[in-house]
Amino acid sequence: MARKAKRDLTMEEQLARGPLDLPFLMLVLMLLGIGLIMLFSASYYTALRDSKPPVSNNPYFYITRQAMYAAGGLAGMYIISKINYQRFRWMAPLLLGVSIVLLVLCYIPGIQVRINGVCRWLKVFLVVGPTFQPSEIAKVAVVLFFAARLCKRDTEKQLRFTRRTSTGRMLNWLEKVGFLELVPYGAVLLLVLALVVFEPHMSGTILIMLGAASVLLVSGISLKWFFGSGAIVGLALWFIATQTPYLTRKLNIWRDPWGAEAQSDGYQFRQGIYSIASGGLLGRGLGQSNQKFGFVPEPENDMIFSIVVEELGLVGAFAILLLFSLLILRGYWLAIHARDKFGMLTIVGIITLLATQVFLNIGVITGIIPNTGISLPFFSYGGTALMIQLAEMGIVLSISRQIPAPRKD
Amino acid sequence: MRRGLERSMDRAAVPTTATRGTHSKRSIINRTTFLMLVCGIVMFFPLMWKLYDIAIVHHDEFQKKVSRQQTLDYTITADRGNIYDRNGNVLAMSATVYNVIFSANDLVKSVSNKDADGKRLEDAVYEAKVSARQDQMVEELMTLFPNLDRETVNRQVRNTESYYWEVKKGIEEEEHEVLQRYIVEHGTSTYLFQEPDTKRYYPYSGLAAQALGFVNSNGGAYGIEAVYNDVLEGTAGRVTTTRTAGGTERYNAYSQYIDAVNGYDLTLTIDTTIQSYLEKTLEEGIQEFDVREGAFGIAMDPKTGAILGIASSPDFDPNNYSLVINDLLNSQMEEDAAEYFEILKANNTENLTDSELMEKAESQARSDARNTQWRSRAIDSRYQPGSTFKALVLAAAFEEGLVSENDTFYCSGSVIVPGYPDPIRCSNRQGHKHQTLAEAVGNSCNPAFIEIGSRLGIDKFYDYFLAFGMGEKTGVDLPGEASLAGAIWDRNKMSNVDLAVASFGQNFEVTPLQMICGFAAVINGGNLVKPYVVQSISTRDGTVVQNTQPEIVRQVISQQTSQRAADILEQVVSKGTGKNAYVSGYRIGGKTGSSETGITDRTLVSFMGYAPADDPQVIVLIAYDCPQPAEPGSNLTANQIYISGGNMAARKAGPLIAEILNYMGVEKVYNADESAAVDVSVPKVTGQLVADAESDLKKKNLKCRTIGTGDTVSRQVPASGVSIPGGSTVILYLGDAVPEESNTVPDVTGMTYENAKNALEKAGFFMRASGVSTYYGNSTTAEGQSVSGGEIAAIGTVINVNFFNVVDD
Repeated sequence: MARKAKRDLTMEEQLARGPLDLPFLMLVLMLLGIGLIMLFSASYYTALRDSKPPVSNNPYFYITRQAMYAAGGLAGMYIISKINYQRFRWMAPLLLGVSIVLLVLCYIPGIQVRINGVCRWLKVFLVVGPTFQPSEIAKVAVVLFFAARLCKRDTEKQLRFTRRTSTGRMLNWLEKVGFLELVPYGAVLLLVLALVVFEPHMSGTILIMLGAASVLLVSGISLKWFFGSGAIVGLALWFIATQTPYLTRKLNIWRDPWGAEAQSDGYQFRQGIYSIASGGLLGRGLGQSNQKFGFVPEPENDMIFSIVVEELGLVGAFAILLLFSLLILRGYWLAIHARDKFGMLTIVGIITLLATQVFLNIGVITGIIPNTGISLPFFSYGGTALMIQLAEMGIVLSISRQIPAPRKD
Repeated sequence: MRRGLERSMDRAAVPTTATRGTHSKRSIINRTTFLMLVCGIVMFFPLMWKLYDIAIVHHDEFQKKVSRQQTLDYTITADRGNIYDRNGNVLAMSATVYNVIFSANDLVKSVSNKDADGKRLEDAVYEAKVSARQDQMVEELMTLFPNLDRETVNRQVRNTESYYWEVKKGIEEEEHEVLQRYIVEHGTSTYLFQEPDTKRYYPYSGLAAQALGFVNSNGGAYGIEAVYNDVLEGTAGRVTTTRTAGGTERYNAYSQYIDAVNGYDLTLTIDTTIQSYLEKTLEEGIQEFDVREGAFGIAMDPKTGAILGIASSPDFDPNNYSLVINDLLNSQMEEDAAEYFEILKANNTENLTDSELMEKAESQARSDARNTQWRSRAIDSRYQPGSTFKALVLAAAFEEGLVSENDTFYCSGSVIVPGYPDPIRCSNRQGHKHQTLAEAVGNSCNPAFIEIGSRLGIDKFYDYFLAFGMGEKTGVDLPGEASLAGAIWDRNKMSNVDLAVASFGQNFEVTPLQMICGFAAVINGGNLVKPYVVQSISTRDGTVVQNTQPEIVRQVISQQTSQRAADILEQVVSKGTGKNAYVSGYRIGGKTGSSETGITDRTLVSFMGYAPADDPQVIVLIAYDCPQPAEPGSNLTANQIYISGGNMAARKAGPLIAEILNYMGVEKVYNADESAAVDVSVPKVTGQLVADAESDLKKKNLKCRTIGTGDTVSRQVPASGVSIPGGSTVILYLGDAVPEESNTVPDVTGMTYENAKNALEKAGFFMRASGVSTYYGNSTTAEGQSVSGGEIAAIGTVINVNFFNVVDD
């Protein structure tokens, strides 16, 4: 496609060619860079000891893969940032539809990838290729879909029903309190959540729920619905936690990770704590972790931050948290300054997802919350997850291009 | 979709003018800012606080736990030094062996609880799978180690609590490699593996067992292994480093390596050959004399104190030191167990069953027996030296000038000592009558020595007693020298009776080692030496770190006195009670002893001998404890041997000393009488005139007799070139006389030397005598012959006849 001259561009097109937000991009790149370095350090020994293919004792296995995906992800991020994000409006329902289909596929034997009785994964080309979690896509899809719809609610007309029937009066009342407006969102959300939760994938469920909630919140939905549904979800969680032995046990281990009950199951957590503790203020130094030598199970995955603290110390950990904090703040800043409400809601959803993931991951390894099994963005090993993460960043960057430059007074 | 849904609910739904949203930008900005603050700032506070709490506040607490799991701290065992005899033969050495370890718990873990698809198995299915694997494991172990008890294996494999079962200990290199290959091939290393260990080998098994001692898990437990444990064991090295969770070592800057320092090697003064002679002699004597309470022997260089051999019976095999191998000890153990059982049964307060009591009794008896066999009696027990002590008394009296070779003593068979109600008897009840000093010593006459003792007096006696080292430990570098508390009298409490009895070696106790050192001082020129067994300490590459110099504790008597005493002691063997120790060609000196033990019918017979008398190379003490009398109160054993040092110990010591001297390369020197009996080669005399033949033979110290008539010798028996003892009578056949081919050998046992010689020569044989000096008396009788009486032998055969003296001592 031949590049049009600037004068031929529509206003829309001109905006889409605006500069992307450099601070946000820089923060993403810094975190990605640090993340790759730490992944190499944390995964080196595990890879060296893993004799099974595809690792085959290759200490560079994880880092090579992750770096390749990161490169791919960066390219993807750049391409996505070049797309005029207004197009996501019509893409959103499609993406949602695709992700629902993918989630359904997870339940179909033969296509699903089952690991330890859990079917969260699909292969990229369904029968071959690396695995990925459709729930990752569903997260973005739900956010985009919600944002695309909710941005129009200021222009959406309220419905009026006949007052002659009691149903009609009921519906009128429901419309008035704003319930009817929520029904389609609720339906979509419940469908997606149901598909994810029965995989089972608790952390994915929580993330999608919180991502969707953030979009709903910012879009101006009355707070009472949040309190109400928050209460219901809380009650449901309490019920599930106390009624399913599996979760009850998990909770007990969280409450007392040093106790007798947690002896084998709390091992990973305790080793993570040991790692963090041995880091101290300044850490053992990059690459000097002792805990990664088989003590912390799978240090390249969810537990990677504990190795980070051990090697870089509290100072290093705080620095990384600061980068995350700045990225999140910049993200919301971009949301506030976004050109339109769609962009705003999209960024809020994506950034909230990121923030939640950071909080849940570090919260788990430090014992603030029970184990949910969430990876740390940019750090944990997982090629497709990283690519999707970077794609999300690409969306944010794409939106940032259309932020009008501040007037120079 | 929404519209459709609503329409189905109520067809009358129509959009109004009011919008669902509020257009309120403020609320949206507020909510976003709220999220921004929560997710961008507030959210990080608990994370940072918690990280701070763990990494800084609880740093030390967790750090401790973490270093425990990360630190690899192990010792590198040092190689234990070898022990060599004086000629460099290995007496003890260490080698790496392997223990096979099985972990029942890890076997269970090795069985996957998932099926091929990674699905968790049902409990029952999984248990069946584990059980099948265990069955298989039992079979595998039984195939690998067919000697194992199947029941034990079965139990251990199923004992899933256990992580550590020693399947087999001490696997050696070859088997280790085979097993290692098996482990690798079958991937059993998580539950069946080998651990290195060291094992002590004693290539000569029981030889010098008590002197060497043995090594148990705590290091050297007995003998040289114990005394020189620090020298032998070396210093263990240590590695402190971080480790991986799998337990493998990590090499990094924190690692600390301290090398192990191998133990030093010891070279002993003990000579395996002499030691084996000594042990053989003890065992033979025990068999011959039906000895019940064991025996001991020491061979020492009298000038330096270097111990050439030291042995005790019953002994053991340090390779398997807990096993009781001595038959006597085993039967003793059974008796003891029965006795203990009775005692336990009488005091059965815990209401144990009979089998439990028996078990207890047996283990007690076994432990007693083990302690007995591990003891080195030559060092750690005391005995009354008996008449062997007379040598010391003699030397003291010589040194003080209180007796001389010209003194005579009268023995009536007993003597009254003031202060003691009964007369003190001599071994010869009839008395030795008049005797010279040499005869008195040779007769081992008690009254004579009571006389000599009284000439010395208590003070002098006591001085010499101490000077000869009887009041102090020898300081030998072997463990367990017996305490001397209560062994001797206090100087100021010693009475005349004590003196009288002590003069012939009774009523006080010393260790055999003290006694041999004291005796050595009498004959070696007067020096009391400090005995030792370790000649040198050296590193593995042969660098000598320490070499033991002979140490003279003190000079007790003068050179001349020593010479005089030695001359008299030589006569004890050539003419006196020690004559059963006589070996022609070697000038052996010594003194016999028969010690009372205070127990009825238990006599300890001993002989202290040294040779050559003019320049002692070796001094030997052997003793047999309790040769069994034929019947209670009898002086004879079942095979009619008179129970005394002269008849038993001396008889075994003579050949032993000869063997040792021969081994040491000391040449035989014959005196005139002896050389007469030395073998000579018969010259060729056939074809000569009888007179010429006679003179030729005479030159060779041979006699002749003729058979047949004629002038010239036609044949001779034995033929020329044959060796026969000097003084034998060669048969010359004259004329046509033809010697017979063979003849019946006469039985000469019980005959005196002359009679036996005549009887044999008459029948056409020659006699080679052994076992006695040339001072044959009527008490010397033949006790064995190489060809038994009544058998047919070729004419001219030299028949060895062994003579024996019955001596009173």
